[in-house]
Parts: sequence; structure tokens; C-alpha cells
Amino acid sequence: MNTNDDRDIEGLLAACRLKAVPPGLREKVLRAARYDDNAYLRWKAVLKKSLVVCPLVLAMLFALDAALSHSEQIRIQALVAGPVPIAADSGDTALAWAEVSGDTIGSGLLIGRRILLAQPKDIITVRRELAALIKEEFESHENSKSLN
Amino acid sequence: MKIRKVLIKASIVLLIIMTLGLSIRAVLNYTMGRKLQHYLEQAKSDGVPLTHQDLAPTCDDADNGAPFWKAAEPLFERVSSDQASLSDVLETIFNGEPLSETSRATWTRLAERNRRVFEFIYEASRKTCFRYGDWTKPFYLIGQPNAIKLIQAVRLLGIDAVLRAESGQVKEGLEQCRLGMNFVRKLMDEPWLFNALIALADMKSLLVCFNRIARGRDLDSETLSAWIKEMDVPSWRKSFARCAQSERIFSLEHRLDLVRGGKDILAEAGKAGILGKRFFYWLVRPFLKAEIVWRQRQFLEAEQRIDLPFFKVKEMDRDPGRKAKPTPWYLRLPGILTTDFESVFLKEATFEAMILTTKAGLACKIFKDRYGKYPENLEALVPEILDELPIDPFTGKPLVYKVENNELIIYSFGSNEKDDGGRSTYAITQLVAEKDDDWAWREKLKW
Repeated sequence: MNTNDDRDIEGLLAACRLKAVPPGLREKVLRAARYDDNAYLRWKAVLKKSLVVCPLVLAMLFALDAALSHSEQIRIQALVAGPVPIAADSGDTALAWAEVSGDTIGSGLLIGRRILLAQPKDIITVRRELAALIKEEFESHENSKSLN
Repeated sequence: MKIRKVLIKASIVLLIIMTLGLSIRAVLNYTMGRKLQHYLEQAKSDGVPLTHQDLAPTCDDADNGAPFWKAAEPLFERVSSDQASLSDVLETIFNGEPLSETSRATWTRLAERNRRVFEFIYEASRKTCFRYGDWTKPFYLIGQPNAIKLIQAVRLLGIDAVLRAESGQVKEGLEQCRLGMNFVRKLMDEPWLFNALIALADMKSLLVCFNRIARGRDLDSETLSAWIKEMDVPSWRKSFARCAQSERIFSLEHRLDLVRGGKDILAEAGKAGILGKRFFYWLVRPFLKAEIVWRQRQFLEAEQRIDLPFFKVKEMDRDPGRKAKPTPWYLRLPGILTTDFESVFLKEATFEAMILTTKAGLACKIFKDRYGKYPENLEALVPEILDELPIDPFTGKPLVYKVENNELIIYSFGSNEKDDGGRSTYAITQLVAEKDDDWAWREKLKW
């Protein structure tokens, strides 16, 4: 920077004259700054409180919801629960093993014969076994292969 | 530093929003829960069945025909895709066209291979009831018969009955049809709407086969009277109503299970992880409760209509005073999955039209047998042969009775409610066909 430049700047500064400030501007600016500051502080306080209150409210909500849902479920279950009109032993298992297996598992078994239903004491889970057995019997039946 | 502050503030704001949202959810959950309880209390006091156990088939093991079908299921040899389709053959039978020699040979062979299955079906049909599933289990574990096998086996049985009748074994063919129909009726002891639809499809196939055998054949009055008794619409509709009721109950149990957050039901609901699904269904619980009440009311309304003939249901739909309330905005999405009862009613009405035309046709044969001539009109059949005048379920008017070109035609107007002159189409692909959807009994006159 040389002396010429300095002189130019001084000249420029000399050209800028200070103007008179309108009355009350200072207070206005300060009031706005104070308002902003207060708002920030209030907002900060709210956030701080929220940080404490919200988790509490949430915990309360969850606890309340769980308790109310539980009692509601009990009442609903009591309402929809009705008498069960069917026997505990299901049709799935109600096949007499003696009839299915017999003493000998011959070709005549189940082919053209009725499956007699048993008393509960004879009941055995035979659904899958029966299906496999019948399939086996059917496939070995003299007609079934020749018809394929 | 500034970003950190912004993030902290955003998180706190999010926390506030979440708290508010969950508070609203909690209030809604409570109020909807109260509404649901109120609905259930009301339904219970009105005697509305609320659990699947209320509808469970009361069937002693000794009277149960289902074990026979269970035994038949694994034996049934399904119709393979390289064989002509069962529908094509039934269409040929329906149109009264002769079956080709090749076709006869193919179907006779397949029927022979499934003879054992037919025998099991006969055994099942002789039993007084049908309980396939284990109704002590939750509804989604009850178990249902294999639908494809049920449809194919019964269709094959019907085709075989026609083949037997056409080879001279008319009595055997008719008996086969009768046993098949008995079996199909029993299927509806298991009150699933799905079963009812299978039963409808099966009965339709058997009726087509029966009509082919009975039309133009000299059958004695006793046989014909017995068949008229078989064509019983009210008992069919009663079973159908029970199946529709079950649809409501399964919907109720399913949604209540979701509300409860049952592990098994959540495992069934979509591919997401169990925790994700549990959270989702917990969050939407208030909406689920609202949906239950809304859907139950929709179902109950449909149930009330089942007892009515189809033309009355249509009249109700046309009445602006009875117009259904629009679906609430928050239930639009689940509302899409509501059972389409309109199409169910339409299928049921079509079947009833087939039964009624067949019944009237058989009554005309009896009349001819007794008086040596065909009746002047259908009124002449009442009350001597028929208890009441057969009414077209689609129009509410008596069935059309015509004698044209030496042919007797009795028909219903069908879904389009238009007189297509008794022309029918077997494979109707639309719910309401534009033309040729009359259901008719046709018979060449013998003077």
C-alpha cells in the first residue's frame, strides 16, 4: 500500500459524513433483540421441560395402554367365549386301528370295505398312516397298474 | 456445534410430536375398544354367534362322513393338463352334444382309476354329517378339504354317471348322481363360505350331468318324485346362510387375534419380522377395532339378505332409502378386502335357477306320465306334483314355460334378467352375462 492510496481512502472517509440517528431507534433495536432473546430462552425452557415430560408421558401411556388393553382383552374374551358343542376327540383320530391294520394287511383291506369308527378307547392317530396304507394298497391293487 | 444444536432441537420436537400422536392413539384405542365391547355385548345379547365353536358341525364320529373323504383325497388321481379339460366335457354334456369315442374312452379310463375314490364318496354320502377339520383348534388351524380334488373328483363322478347311463346303466348313473349330490350337500356341514362355493360348483356340475341323463328318458313317476324331493332350495339356502355366518365369525376371530397380537396370527400376516408386525398391529389397533365393528355390521347386513330370494336382494339394492353407508375414509384400504357377497348371492341364485328349472322339468315328465300330455302351463303342476309354483330367482316371476318346435323349454331369465329365449351358456365368465345366460330345462316332446 503506498501513500497515494492512503490519501484516497482518507478522502473517501472524509466524504462519508455521519448522519443523525432517528430518535428511539436504539431502544427499538434493543427491544427486538431482547424479545428474541426471551423467546429463545422460553423455547429452550419448553424443550428442556419436554425432554423430561415427554418420556414420562410416554411411559405412562405405555403402562396405561398395557393395563387397559389387558383388562379389555379379558372382557372381550369373556364376551366371545362360548360353549364348545363338539366332543374333544376329533374325527381326525377316530378310526379304529383294528379295522385299519387287522391281523393281516391283505389286498382286501379297505378296498370295498367300510372303515368302522371306533370307541374312544380304541382311538389312535392314524390319519397319515391310513392315507399311506390305502395308497399302498391301491397302488398294489391288480387293476390300478394296468389302468395306468 | 450449530448442527448439533439443531439436531438436538429437532429430536426434542420429534419427541413432542410422537408423544402427542401416541396420546391421540391411546385415546382412540380406548374409545374404539369401548365401542367394540359395546358391539360384542349387544351381539351376544341378540344371540348372534361369535365364535367358530358356535358353528362347529355337531357330528358324532360314527355319523361322520369326512374320514371317508380323507381316505379318498390321497388316492384321487387328478386330471392332468395333457388330458382334455373336465370343463370341456361338461360343456359338451351341457350342450346335449354326443361325446366322441376317444373322449368316452379317456374319461372311462380315468373314472376306473378313481373307482375307489368314488366308493369312498358314496360311503361319505351315506353318513349323516360331515366334519373334516378339528373345530377345537383355532379357526386358522381347523383344516379344510383339498378344493381342487373335491371339484375334480365330483366332476369326474358326474361324467362317469353320464357315461354309465349312456351305456345302458341308467339307474346306476342316476344313483351315482344322487350319492354325489348327497356328498356335496354334506360338505356344507363344514361352514366355510369357501366350502359353500365349492359345493355350488360341484352341484352345478352334477345337475348338468343329471339333466343329461334324465332329459328325454322314460323314467317312472316314483323315481322322478324322489328326484323332485332332492331338489330342495330352502335346505340348501339354510346351509348356505350358515357358511356366510362363519365368514363373519372368522373375520371377527382373525381381527381379534390381531388386536391381541397373537403370535401365530402375526406369523401368518405378511413377510415382515415378527417384532415389526407386532409394532405395526399395536400402532393400528384403534383402527382394527373400528374395522371389526364396521365389518361385522356389513356381514350382519349380508346375512339378513341370504334368506331372501335374489330378486328381493336386488330390489333392496335399488331402493335409495336402503343404500349402504359409504365406507369411512380410515377404513377404505381394509374395506377393499371385504367379501363380495353380491357375487356370492348371484352364484347362489344361478344355482337355484338350475334347481328350479330341473324340478319343473321333472314335474312336467310326471304330469305327462299321469295324463298322457304335457301341462298347459306350470300352474297345472301345483299342488298335485309341485308344492308351489317355481319362481324365477332373478325376476320374482314364474319361470317361463314354452313349447316350441316340438320342444319343451322351462327357463329362468338369468343374471341379465333378460329373456334370451332359454339360450344358455355353460362357461359363463362374467358375473352378469350380456346374453344367453338363461338357465333352461329342454326336452324333446314325445306325444
